Amino acid sequence: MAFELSPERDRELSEILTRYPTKMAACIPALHLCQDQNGWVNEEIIDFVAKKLELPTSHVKGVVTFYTLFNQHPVGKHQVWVCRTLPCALRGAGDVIAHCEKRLGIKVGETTKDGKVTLKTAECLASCGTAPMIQVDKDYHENLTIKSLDAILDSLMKGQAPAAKVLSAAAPPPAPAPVLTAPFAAPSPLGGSVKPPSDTPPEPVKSKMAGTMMGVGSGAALPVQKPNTIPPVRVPAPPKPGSLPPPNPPPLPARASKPPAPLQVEKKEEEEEKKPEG
Amino acid sequence: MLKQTNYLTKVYGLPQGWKLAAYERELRGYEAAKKVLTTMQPADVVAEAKKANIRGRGGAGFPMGVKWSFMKPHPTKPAYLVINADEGEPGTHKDRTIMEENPHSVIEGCIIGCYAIGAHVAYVYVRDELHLSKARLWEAIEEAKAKGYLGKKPFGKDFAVDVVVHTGAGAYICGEETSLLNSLEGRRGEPRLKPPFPAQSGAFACPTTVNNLETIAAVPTAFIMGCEEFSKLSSIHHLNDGGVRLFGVNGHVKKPGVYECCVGLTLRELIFDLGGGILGDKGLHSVIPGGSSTPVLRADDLVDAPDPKSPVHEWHGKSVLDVPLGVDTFRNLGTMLGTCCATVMAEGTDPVACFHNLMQFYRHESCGQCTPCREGSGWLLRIADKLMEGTCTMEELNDLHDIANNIMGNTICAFGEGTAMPALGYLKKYRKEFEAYVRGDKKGKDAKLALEPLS
Repeated sequence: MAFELSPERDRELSEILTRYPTKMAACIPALHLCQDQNGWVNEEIIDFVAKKLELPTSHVKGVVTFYTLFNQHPVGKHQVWVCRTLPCALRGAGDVIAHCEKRLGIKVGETTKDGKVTLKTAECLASCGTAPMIQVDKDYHENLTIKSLDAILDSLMKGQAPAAKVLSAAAPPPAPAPVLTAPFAAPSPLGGSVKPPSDTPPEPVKSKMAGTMMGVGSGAALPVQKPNTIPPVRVPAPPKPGSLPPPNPPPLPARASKPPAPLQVEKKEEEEEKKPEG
Repeated sequence: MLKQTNYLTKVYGLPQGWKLAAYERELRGYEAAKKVLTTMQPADVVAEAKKANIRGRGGAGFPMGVKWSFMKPHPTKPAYLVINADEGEPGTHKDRTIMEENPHSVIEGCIIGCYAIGAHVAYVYVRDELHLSKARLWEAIEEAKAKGYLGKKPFGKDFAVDVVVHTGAGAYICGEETSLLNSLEGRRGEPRLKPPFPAQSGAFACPTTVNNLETIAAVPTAFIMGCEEFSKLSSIHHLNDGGVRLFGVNGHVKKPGVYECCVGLTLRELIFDLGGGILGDKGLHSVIPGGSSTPVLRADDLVDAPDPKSPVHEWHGKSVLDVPLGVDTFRNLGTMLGTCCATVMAEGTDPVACFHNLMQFYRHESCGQCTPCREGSGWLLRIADKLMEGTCTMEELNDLHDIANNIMGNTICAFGEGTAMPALGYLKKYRKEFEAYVRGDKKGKDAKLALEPLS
């Protein structure tokens, strides 16, 4: 039987088509919609998308086979992606993979016999500051420990989606959290401000993304061998645009060290991007 | 020089900090866009943007204002602004925080960017895995539209601007700008030959500017402050590397995370002051300064720049850890600044295991279009596998150099260099360790990357 999108998804596809000057541009979003409905992309879906977007079937097939996230075979009800790339590996991704394999009784790339869970490894999921991490369906689970990993795997093996920390934290208005910016310098009318260096170690800018894992307390003191400790130099508040109220910087000493002599830098010719961007 | 700021990050962690209300209250949201659209001409916006000295935050470090100035109005074709948020470089985790915690800075940056280059649509290309980021961006777009900041007449100005979130489907290569454009058009994400450059023929064969997400998010701050003042916040402003940016640190540090600081921070400050030092108070082994494609630096590396004209001459003979993190400074250290998110390795980490891990990444992510990269990345991994298995010979170890050198410069896009450079970096700096594997003094099964078992 030919594949058809559900009415809501079909409406969504019509809306997506209005965003682009060509129908082809909707190819990847359309495939995502179909995969959301069906779990994986089969030949019927490829035909459906090709017909809908007036593309050759070969084009759509080419797109499906290029991108990792289009499943070309049926997968389990839930998909678990373990990030295995270097920053996560440095924080124990190898143990995460081994633990998942042991608990689920499958190897990477396989699906449990009851069809509930598919285990895969992923290349860097942009969560290096909160490593190790796994992605379960659409949710990130970061700063994993064996205990939190076990909780996730337990609910997965029962066939339930584990509580998504990030997305569920985003949904209801969270309780007032300690304002991270409290230690910053007097608020400037610019909105942000430059914080003078202090002797206390600075906090990362995001509580949820800050790593407190593997038994390392977040309040750890600076190591004794911290070399070249910078002297507590205070910097003036940033200057303000002309139209704004006059600045009111506290009288502060200039920086202690001699500023580097200005260097003439050769103007580079039309040099284009040399590197795939992150 | 360590100067922490919070121009972007003030709303991070606040309750509902990603909402328009918080952005307007804490960071004077949309004032810059209003000022630009109601009082400035597009040409002046570009001229002003050049003064901010914002170097592209995606890895190549191309000056943003200069890139905008390449855009010339076309008689028949529309122009497009495309924002690259396909963050996937191993070790890079900064763009995701902006999208999740301060999405309105991206939208405001897009409004200013569109106006400057004459585009009416901005596409934000987000990698598909980042579902929360996409949701937050869409929410921000809706909020901005409801307020009349986006749409047919933003701030009453007759200049329509729309922002659309587009998603990929899990391909690292789509972070390369021409590949991203192919993916946006609904094709396989294979890089295009340049020229034509995107400014002449980009998305849908129309003039296009591709900016990194962090680059565009920095624009409102620069315009509200005055671009020249923004640039001067940097301590290497004289090297045309200005403003503030996000610095990430991950790996074997006590407090991994993202920190906003003035440009000019050194690696030592990033690792020991912001990152809290090395786990277990161990010594520093090596650091990858800005994503896995940037060659590794050893902890004992010294700056070798006897030429007074070199931007890093000032630090000649000093440790590389004391050089300010800048695009030109790090290029002169034989590595690159990349995305400015450092991966730190503590003493005892096995460099050959790191090399093996990274080669797996590049083998997996090569798009397969150019033979040197498609085959070369596989050969590099095969030899790395043999090293770990203990079956690699000295000839094969030497072949690694040949293979890497033959990928360099022989591919359409820079992924080839991105594979070969870190490979050559590891080979050059850790030859002894590689030889120990060939001789059998070290075994792959003993190689550990994590300092201690996960508890």
